[in-house]
Amino acid sequence: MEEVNIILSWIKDSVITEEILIFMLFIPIIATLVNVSRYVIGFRTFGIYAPMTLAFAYVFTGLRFGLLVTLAVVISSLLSYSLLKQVRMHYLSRITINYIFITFILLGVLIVNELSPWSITTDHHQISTVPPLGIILIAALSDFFVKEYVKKDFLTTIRSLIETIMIGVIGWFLLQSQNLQQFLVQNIWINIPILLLNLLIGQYKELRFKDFFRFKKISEE
Amino acid sequence: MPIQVGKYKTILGINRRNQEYIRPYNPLSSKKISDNKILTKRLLAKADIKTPKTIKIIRTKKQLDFFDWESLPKSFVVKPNRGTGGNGIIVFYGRKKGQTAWIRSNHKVMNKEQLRIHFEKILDGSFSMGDSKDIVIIEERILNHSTLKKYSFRGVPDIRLIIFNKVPVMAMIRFPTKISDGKANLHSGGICVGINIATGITTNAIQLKKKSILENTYSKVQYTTDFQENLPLEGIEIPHWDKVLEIAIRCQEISNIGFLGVDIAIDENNGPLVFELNSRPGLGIQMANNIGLRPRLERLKGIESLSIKRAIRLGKTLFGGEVDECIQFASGKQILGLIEKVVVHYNAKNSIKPKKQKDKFQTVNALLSTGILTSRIDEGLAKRMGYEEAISYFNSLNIPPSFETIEEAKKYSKKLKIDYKNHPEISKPAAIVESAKAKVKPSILLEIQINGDSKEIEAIVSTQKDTIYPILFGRKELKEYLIDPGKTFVK
Repeated sequence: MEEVNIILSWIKDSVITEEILIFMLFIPIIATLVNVSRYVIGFRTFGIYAPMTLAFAYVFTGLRFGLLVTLAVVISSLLSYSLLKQVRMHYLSRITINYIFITFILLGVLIVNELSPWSITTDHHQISTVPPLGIILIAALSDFFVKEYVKKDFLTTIRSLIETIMIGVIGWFLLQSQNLQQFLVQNIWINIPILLLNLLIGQYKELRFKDFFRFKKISEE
Repeated sequence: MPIQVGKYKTILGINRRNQEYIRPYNPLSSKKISDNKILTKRLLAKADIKTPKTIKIIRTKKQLDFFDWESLPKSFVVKPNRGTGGNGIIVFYGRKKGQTAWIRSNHKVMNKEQLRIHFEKILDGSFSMGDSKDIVIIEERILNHSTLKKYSFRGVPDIRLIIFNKVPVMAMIRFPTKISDGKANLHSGGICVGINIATGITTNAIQLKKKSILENTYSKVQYTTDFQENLPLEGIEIPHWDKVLEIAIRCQEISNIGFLGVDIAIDENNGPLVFELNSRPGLGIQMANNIGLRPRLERLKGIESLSIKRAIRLGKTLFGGEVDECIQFASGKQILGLIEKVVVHYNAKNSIKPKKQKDKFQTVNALLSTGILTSRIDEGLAKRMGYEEAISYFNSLNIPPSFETIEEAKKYSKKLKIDYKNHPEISKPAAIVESAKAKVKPSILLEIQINGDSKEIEAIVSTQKDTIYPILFGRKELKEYLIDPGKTFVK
């Protein structure tokens, strides 16, 4: 363990910043969260990448502002999809126009938020200090959302969206915890039990939590 | 209504479906067949299995520039080749007079331009698995069978069968409704009705009650919902039922998909036509039949090389459970076959525990024998399941290998002193007749599982030379069951 700590100190001092190290150590945690939520609870998130991206993005933007941006992205995606549905064009052209919509709607939301007396930005997270990367990461959610919406009905897509955001928020909550950050940096061995947990979930055959609601009728007979 | 926790054990969830049935029984090559409707049609055509007639196939957008829209018939169906869950499928019922436009089941009209946009979406892969480019299939619209027409609202009902190891396991029919827009899927609002495998007659019906953000809810329905005179959904006799079963089993033979969902529609003129093969069949069929899939699938594991006729007979006998259910309800007893699969658990009282998970229990065939009172277990099996020490101890008691009469053996067993404290798994010494000789053998307490019930039974350890079955289930344990020899099958 001593050797591991020495290597970690060297990494922090000479290779990468502590912030990057913490972010990297959270990747397995949030991925595991998605894994558990899918196979044990039955959440259908937009894959692993989307909820993970949201969790990290909310750290940059702050939760309230991040959720506002998410809402704006979803509404603008729905709007652009509905408007372009009947227009003949290539797939990528459609997605590009979708992003143009998002850009301007987001810009509008940012301006209104800044000028409005009910602005949700805090002292901690001023718009001027929000890294653009945070907003861009959230905007990428549009791709996942539209792809799902083309194939599934509105409610199913919204259900997946809510579950993705929920996992993103839980991920953000974990990422915020100073104690957990310190614990992960000081106890890198925790990744071995995490690995084993994921192996176990990989073999999990029992009903998912949501299955109990789905098949409730059968159990009542 | 109280929830019966035990019933959840019978339900097949997505996790188990994927791990225990799809991965081991559906090889990648077979999935490629089911995921490709054109390939499926070709393979089935080679085996003389009918599918809806293909009118046109469009592979590229360039083809659309030269597409002869006038050549499309009055009614047809558009499908993506690699679509899932009914996405991208549109059924057209007629052509708008004097226009290049067609009428959908919801009465909406789609003109040439709108249809072209839909075709392009399909070609772009918008409705397909894995987002890859796709192909448009235009095929004839099936002429609804007169028996089923009066139950379906502007659409063709399809029959979904689950076939496992060539045996039909469960079936349902899906009727389109006003709200399902010509589609028959449960989540689109179609009515799903369970079918008794033995008779081909419908039983229990369900429909989507409410779509919600949390989870969709379903409720039982007794009548059709969209007609002036709504008809009862229970008791519909599916036309060509035996032919449907035969086709479904043949589909499995051809596709090599071990755990298969087959969608079949009944055409008025052509009889049963295969719509689709599905290597990841949904689990809603359990709700339509109001019964879990697990016990049915468990019974069929390991079965091989059945002829089609035998597979149909087996499916009908094992899973045509309506009559059985009535008997079970009236008598309060479950119906078992002469031979049943029994799970024997490792001796929990043994201080040495098995290292591997697979050694903790063993599944064997048991003969339900009314000729003996107490159940019997093969000595070899008992030793493997952690009773070796108890058996060695019993053998060390210097008991004579045989007795003149059974009475003598009984007398001896009564006098025998057993150290029950150190060997709690031994219940008593028992006098039995084995290979025409009276003997005294140990009777042990055995934890087993039969037909989903877990129980502790008393079983006499014997060499089982007279039988091929490692476990004989005696009369003591059979009081709770009725035996139907017709249900019997041998691995």
